[in-house]
Amino acid sequence: MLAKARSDVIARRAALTAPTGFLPRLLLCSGLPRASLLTMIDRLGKMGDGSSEKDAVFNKLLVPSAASEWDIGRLGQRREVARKLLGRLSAYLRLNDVSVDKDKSTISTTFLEWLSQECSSNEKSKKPRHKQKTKSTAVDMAKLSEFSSILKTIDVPNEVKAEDYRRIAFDDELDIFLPVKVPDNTEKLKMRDKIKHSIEQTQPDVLEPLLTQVLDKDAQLRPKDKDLHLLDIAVFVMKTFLNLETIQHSITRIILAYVPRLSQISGNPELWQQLFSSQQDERNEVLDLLLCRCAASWHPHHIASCYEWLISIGKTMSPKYCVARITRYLVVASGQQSVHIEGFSTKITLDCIKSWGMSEEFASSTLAFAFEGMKQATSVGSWPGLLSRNGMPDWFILLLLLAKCGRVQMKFVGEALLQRIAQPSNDLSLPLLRAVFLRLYVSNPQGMNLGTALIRNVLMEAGQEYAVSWLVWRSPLDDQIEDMLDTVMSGAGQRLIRPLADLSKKHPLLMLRKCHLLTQFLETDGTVPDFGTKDNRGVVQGQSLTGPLNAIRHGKMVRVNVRHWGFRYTEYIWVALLDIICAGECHKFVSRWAVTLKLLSSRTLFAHYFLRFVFQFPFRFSLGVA
Amino acid sequence: MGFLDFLNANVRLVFVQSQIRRTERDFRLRDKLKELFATFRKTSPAGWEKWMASKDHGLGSLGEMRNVMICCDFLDPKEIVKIERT
Repeated sequence: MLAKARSDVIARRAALTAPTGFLPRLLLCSGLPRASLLTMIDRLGKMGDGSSEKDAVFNKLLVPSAASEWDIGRLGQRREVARKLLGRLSAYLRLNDVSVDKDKSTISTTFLEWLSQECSSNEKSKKPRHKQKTKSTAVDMAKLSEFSSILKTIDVPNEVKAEDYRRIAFDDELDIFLPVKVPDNTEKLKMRDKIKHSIEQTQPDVLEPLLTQVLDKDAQLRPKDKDLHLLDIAVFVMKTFLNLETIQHSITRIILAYVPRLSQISGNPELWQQLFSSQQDERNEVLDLLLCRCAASWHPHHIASCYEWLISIGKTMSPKYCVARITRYLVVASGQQSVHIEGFSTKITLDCIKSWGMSEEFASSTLAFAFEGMKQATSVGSWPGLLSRNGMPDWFILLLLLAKCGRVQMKFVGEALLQRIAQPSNDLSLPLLRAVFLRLYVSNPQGMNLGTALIRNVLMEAGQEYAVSWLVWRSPLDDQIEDMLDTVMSGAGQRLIRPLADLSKKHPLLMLRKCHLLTQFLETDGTVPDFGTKDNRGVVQGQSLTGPLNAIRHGKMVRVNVRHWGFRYTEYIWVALLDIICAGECHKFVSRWAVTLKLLSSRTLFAHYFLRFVFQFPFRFSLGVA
Repeated sequence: MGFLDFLNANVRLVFVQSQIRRTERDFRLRDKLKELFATFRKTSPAGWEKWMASKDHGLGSLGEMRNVMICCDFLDPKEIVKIERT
């Protein structure tokens, strides 16, 4: 009774709680709702799946001794019970419009398949050969049309041959056939012709159902039966689309939606060549967008194989590929954290690309793509995004991601940049390379080896050139420095003065970016508060030389102490900030820095002086050696 | 870059402290600033001179920064005169 309940929940629970031995009995009942029907079929199927001998398990359910306990009288032998059960299930499937292949992913159909095989084999062994001949295929085909409601969810070719179908059910009143063969090549060719025609004739209402049909058909196949049909279709669609004289937005929309799905599992060089090909018109924008969608939907293994292919073509750097799109893809699909995220783990999250940036070949190819992207992006003379806080160009993000993989990679990138700085070309100008180098340092200061005089000189010159821009760039040490300064200013972190001075020694350029903050702290500390503070440790108080002034307030004479800014200050804070800035013995290397002063423009003169002034401190030993 | 503002704030404090009656002397701060200025002067003479000629230090009534430095005893007036003559 409960299995026949109108509520799906109750019916399903009833089907779940019924004893296994009674499931076939329940399936023979009339009026079962869809929920309990599918649940029972699923339970039986899983029972077979979980057993190594599913024939024995299923036979045991249908033997007369088991059926005798069902309390519905004599049903006959096991074969007869199986046939009746199959007939009933076929009717249920038809009534509930259930497709076995379509619902295979949600329920286990093992029991149904076993039942159909069982009945089929029984029939073959039972009927004499001459009788089998009398049951012609024409009859089967006639019956096939009767059950269109069952088969309508399955793609049946118009001209179907009888041998393409396997009988899965056999009953006195009911025969059901399901296709078991994958459509042959002729069908594929027909499908391609339709797709090509719909793209060329701009028929989105035809193209979309066709591609949906292809995807649905593939979803019905077992994993082992799937071939590269979808990938072939994806390649074919891309080829046809790119060969169009003019592209239509209606077709573009379908391409953007379906190509990532068609190529989700796997790809091949033919597909990648088209996706990364350099196009002339707005196809470039479509391909850019398409690739981003592909990177978001592709299977990790597909992404990894595409990566390998890109690395292989990075050596030759053919002009037929769009480098900007390649760098975009390498960044988007890298699986790495954002370059602005700093955490305990900076490892790559994507399992299949664990070797990202770890091999020399990978680093070389990535670097080649990044430099090529740099050339192309800056060929017009402007450097979009490079000097601004946000919106860094893809080629720079790629460089940064590679540099963040480790010290070796950072050294590799740094040396490549220094090599180009030493021999600048027309494509890559010296100011551009310096800006890249400085931003690389600001973005990843811990990774750069500042022990080399050449690196320090390049950084100083770059800092002099971009004294304004670089203040807005992000650095992972910014927050750390500001937090430490806040603690020192609060009076609770005198122990942090030494680490701050060390940090200033190590990264003076970054500390110099905080000068405005230091000044702000000093101004605040020198301001006399409205009301006296309780904690006056280390505070130097002062009074006017003229002493308190006399004033009349409410008719009474009072003495007023006038206190301006600077009358009080916390000595250790001022000394500490000076220590932080002057962290080093600067007087030893003064003459070295004054050599190039005359080369400077007046605009950047002050910035240059102070950059050099502060920058010299930490490098006194190595400079002395040099 | 803000570094000049940082120096200006320090000089302004020393100047204010030199004009008032205070309980403690600002020897430590003064010594450190002297050391810093000496280095700055040697490292970047042109920059130093420009800074000395600047007037946006917050003590406008004193004129150039050079005068403030003399008031604070960071510079010797005789030395200034000697430099001017040369």
